[in-house]
Amino acid sequence: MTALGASLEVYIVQIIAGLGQGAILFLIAAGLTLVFGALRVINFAHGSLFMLGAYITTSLTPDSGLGNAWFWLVFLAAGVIVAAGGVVFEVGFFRPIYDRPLLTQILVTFAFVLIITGLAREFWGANTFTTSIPSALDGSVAILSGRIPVSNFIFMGAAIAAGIALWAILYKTDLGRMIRAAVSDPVLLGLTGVNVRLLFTGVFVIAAFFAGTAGGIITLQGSVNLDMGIDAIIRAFVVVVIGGLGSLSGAFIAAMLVGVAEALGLLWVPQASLAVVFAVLVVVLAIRPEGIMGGRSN
Amino acid sequence: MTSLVQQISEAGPSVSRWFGRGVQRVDASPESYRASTRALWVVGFAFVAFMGLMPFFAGVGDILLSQQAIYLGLLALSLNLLVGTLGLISFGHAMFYALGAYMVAVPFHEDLKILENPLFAFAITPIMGAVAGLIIGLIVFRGKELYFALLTLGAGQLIWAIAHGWQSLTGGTNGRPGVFAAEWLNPFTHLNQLYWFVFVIALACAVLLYVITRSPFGDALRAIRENRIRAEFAGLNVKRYELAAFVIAAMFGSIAGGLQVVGETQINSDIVDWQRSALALIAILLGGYRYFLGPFAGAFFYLFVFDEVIQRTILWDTVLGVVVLAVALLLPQGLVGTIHWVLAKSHELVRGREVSAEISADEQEAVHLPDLAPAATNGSANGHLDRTAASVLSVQGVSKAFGGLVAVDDASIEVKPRSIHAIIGPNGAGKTTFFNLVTGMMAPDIGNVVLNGDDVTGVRPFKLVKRGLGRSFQQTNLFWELSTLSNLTISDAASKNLTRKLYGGHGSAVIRRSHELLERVGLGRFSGLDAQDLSHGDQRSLEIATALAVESKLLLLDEPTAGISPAETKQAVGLIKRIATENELTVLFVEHDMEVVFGIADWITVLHRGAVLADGPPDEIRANPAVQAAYLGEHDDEDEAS
Repeated sequence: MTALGASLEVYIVQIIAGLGQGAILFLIAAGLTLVFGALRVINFAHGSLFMLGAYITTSLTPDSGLGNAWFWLVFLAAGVIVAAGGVVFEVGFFRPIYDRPLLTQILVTFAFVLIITGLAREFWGANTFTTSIPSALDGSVAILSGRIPVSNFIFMGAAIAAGIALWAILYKTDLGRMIRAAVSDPVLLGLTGVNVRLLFTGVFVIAAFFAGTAGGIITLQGSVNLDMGIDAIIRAFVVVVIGGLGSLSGAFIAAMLVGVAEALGLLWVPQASLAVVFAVLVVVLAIRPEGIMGGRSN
Repeated sequence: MTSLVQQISEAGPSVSRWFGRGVQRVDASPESYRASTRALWVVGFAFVAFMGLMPFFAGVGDILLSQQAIYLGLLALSLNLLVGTLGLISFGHAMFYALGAYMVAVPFHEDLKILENPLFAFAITPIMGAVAGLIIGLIVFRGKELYFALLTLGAGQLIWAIAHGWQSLTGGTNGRPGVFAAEWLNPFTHLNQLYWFVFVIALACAVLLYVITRSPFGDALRAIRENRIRAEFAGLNVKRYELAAFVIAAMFGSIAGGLQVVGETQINSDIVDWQRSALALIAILLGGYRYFLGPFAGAFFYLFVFDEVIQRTILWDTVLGVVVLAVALLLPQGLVGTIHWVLAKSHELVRGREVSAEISADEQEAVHLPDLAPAATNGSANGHLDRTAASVLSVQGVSKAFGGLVAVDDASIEVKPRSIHAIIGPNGAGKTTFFNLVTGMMAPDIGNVVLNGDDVTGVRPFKLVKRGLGRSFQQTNLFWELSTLSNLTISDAASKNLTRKLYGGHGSAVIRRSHELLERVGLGRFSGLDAQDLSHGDQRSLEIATALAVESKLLLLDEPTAGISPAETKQAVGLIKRIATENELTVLFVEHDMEVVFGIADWITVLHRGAVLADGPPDEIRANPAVQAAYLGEHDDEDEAS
C-alpha cells in the first residue's frame, strides 16, 4: 500500500518489541517499587542484582548450550542464588541503616553498585558475554513486515506470570497482607507483634529473586556486560517514578510505556532513544507529579 | 500498594528523615566543638593554601589530578547549596556541568566558529547555567522530595542523552578535542598558569558561595530545610526561594563545567553522565555536608584515593565501594566532621573538659517560671471587647470535604478585634481543618475567609503572614537545628522581605528586636541554644515569640498547651494573655483544656461534626445544653467543662 501503511506496520512491530523490553523492565521495577514501598529504601544496587542474575546464568550454561527444559531450571536457579545473596545483603547492610538518614542509605546502596561491579569484573572479566540460546527459544516470529525475536514473547510471558504471582502474594496470602500493612505503616505493624525485620528480609528476598530471574531470561537476548546493571536501574527508576512510588500496577503500566517509548525512540532518534524515555518521564510528572498511580488513597 | 509519598510527607519535619537530627557528636562536648571551630578554619585555610601552592612542589600528575578535584569540588560545592543548606537532594546536578562545558566547547566548533576564544564563552557560562536552572527548575520542582530527586535524575539523563546523541554538535562520546585558544593559558607551554587560572576562578566561586550561604538568604534556605511549613508561616515564599537556590546552584555548576573544558581542552559526553552527579553527591557526603569546605575535601579525597587504587588493582571499584561504605556507616559526619571531632577531642584533652555553659533542664525550669499574673478567673481578657466592631477575621460559610468525609460543614465565625476567641469541640470536630482553611494551607470547597475586610480565601500562608496573621501548630513547629535567636531573626527578616539579600548578615535592627523579644518571653538566656534543646514549654514560648517576630496582629494558636506539663501550661497561658494585652492582639485558639479555655477566652465557638454548634460568651456556652450533650456524647472526652 502507501508509505503510511508501511510505516504503520513498522510502528506496530516496534511497539511489540518495546512491550517485550517493557516486560523485563517490569520484572526489575516491581522489586524496586516493593522494596521502596515496604522498606523505604531507594536501592541503587537493585540493578546490580539483575546483572548478577545474568552473569550467573551464563556461568551455569555450558558452552554447548542448554537443553530447552534446562534453561528454565537454570534461570530459576539464578533467581534463587541472587535471592540468597539478597538475604546476606539485607541482613548485613540494610538492617543497620533503616533509621539512618536517607543520604546514608543512598550512599550505602551506591557503594554496593561499585562493589558488585568490581567483583563481577574480577570473576567474569570486562568483556561482553554471549550465551548460546536453547534452540526452541531462539529465532523469531514474523509479524507483518518485521520479525520479533521469540525471546520478546518469553519476556512478556514472564512479566505476566510475575505480575500474577506478586498480585497473589500481596492480596491472597497472610504474608502479602503484612507486606501491604508494612507499606502503609511499618511502625504500627511492629506494635502489633509482627516481626517487621523478618518481613523486610522477606520483601527484599522476593525483590532480589525477581531481579535475578529477569537477569536470567535477558540472556536470551544475547549480551551480558558490566554496564547492564546501571542501564537497568536508571530505567527502572524512571518506571517506578512514572508509575508512582510503591505502586505495583503503576509500575506495570509505566514499564510498558517506557519500553514502547524507547523502542519508538529508536525509530525516531536512533542516537538518543533514551532521551525519549526521559522526556516521557518529565511530561508524565509535569502532569501528575506523583506518578500515574501515585497519591491515590489506600 | 499505593503511594507512600503522602504518608512520608505527613510524617513530620522532613529534615529528620532526609538527614537525621544533627551532626553526630561522638562524646566531645558542644563547647569543645565550638571552641575548635577556629582551629578547623585554620586547617581549611591551610588546605586551600596547599592547593594554591601545589605547582611549586608537586609533580605534573598531581597537579593535573588536583585540577580535576577542583572542577569536581566546585560542582559538589554548588550542589551542596541544595543538599546541605536547603536540604534537597538532586541526582542530576551534572546536567548544569554539562551545559557549562558544552557552552565552552560547542561555539568553538569548526563549523560554527561563533566564539573563537573559549574564554569568552566561559564568561557566559553562568548566564547559561542560570537560564537552564530556571527552566529545568520550573519542571523538577513540580515533584516533592523523592520525586524531586528522581525528576532531577530524569532531567539530567535527558540532557546527557541529547549531548550523547546530537553528535554533529557535541561530538558524542568522541567529543570535541582541542578547545583552546588563549596563548597565555596554553597547557603545553604554561601548565602552572592554567592550574592557577582554574584555582583562582574556583576560589572566587567558593568565596561567593560562602557569602551566599552566610547571608540572610542562606538563613532563609536553612529555615526551609529545617521546617518548610514554619518557613511559610514566617512569610517566606518557599517555592520561590527553592527555585532561586536551584538557579544559583545551576549557575556555579555550569561554571565548574566550563572550567573543566578550559582546563582539559576537550570534552566528551562521558564526562557529564549521571555518574558525575553521583560523584558530586559522594564528594559531599565523604567531606561532610554540614561543613562549607566539606565537598572540596571530599572531591580531593575521592580523586586521590581513586588514583592510588586504580593503579594498584583491577578491583578498583570494589575498593572504592568499600571506602564509601565505611565512610557512610562509620563517619556519617564526613571527613571534615571527623577532623572537627579530632580537634574538639584534643581541645578537651589539653584544656580539660570545660564546665558546661549550657543550662541544665532543671535550671531551665527554675530560671524563669513566670512571675506573671495568674490567669484571670473568667471573662474578658483585655477588658474592652466590642462585639459590634468590624471583624478582624470573618469566616463565611466554609466547607471542606475529603472524599466522602465532610470535615468542615458550612462554618462561619466572626473574630472581633482584641478578643481572645476559643474554638472548642469534641475530637474530630474539624477544628484543625478549620484552622488550615483559615490559614491558607488548604482552600475551602466553598465559602470565604475575610481578613481585615479583604477576601483572602485560599491565599497562601506566606502572604497572609504579611497581612498580620501568625500561626502556631498543634505539634510544636520550629526551626529545630537553628539557634533560638535565629528562629526569631529569620522570622523577623522574612516577614519584612529582608531575606532576599545575598550577602552580609541580618541588619542590627533585626537582631536587636529579636533579642528584645527573647527577653520578653523569658528566653533571653537561651539565645545560643538550638531550638530542639529547649524544654517543651520554652519551645511553646519560642513559637509564640516567632508569631510576634512576624508582627502578627491576629494570632492563631492550635492547642497551645498540648502535651506540656501543668506548670508549663500556666506559664503558656500567662504568656498568651500578657502578650495579647501588651500588643493589642487578637487571638483565635483551639484548645482541649477547658480550664485554659474558660480561663482566658472572652468568646467561644463550639464546633461539632464540622459545623458551628454554638457561639457566644463563656457563660452562655457553659450553660448551653446542646454543647453539654455534644461533649457528654463522646467517650474519648478530656477535661470536662467544670
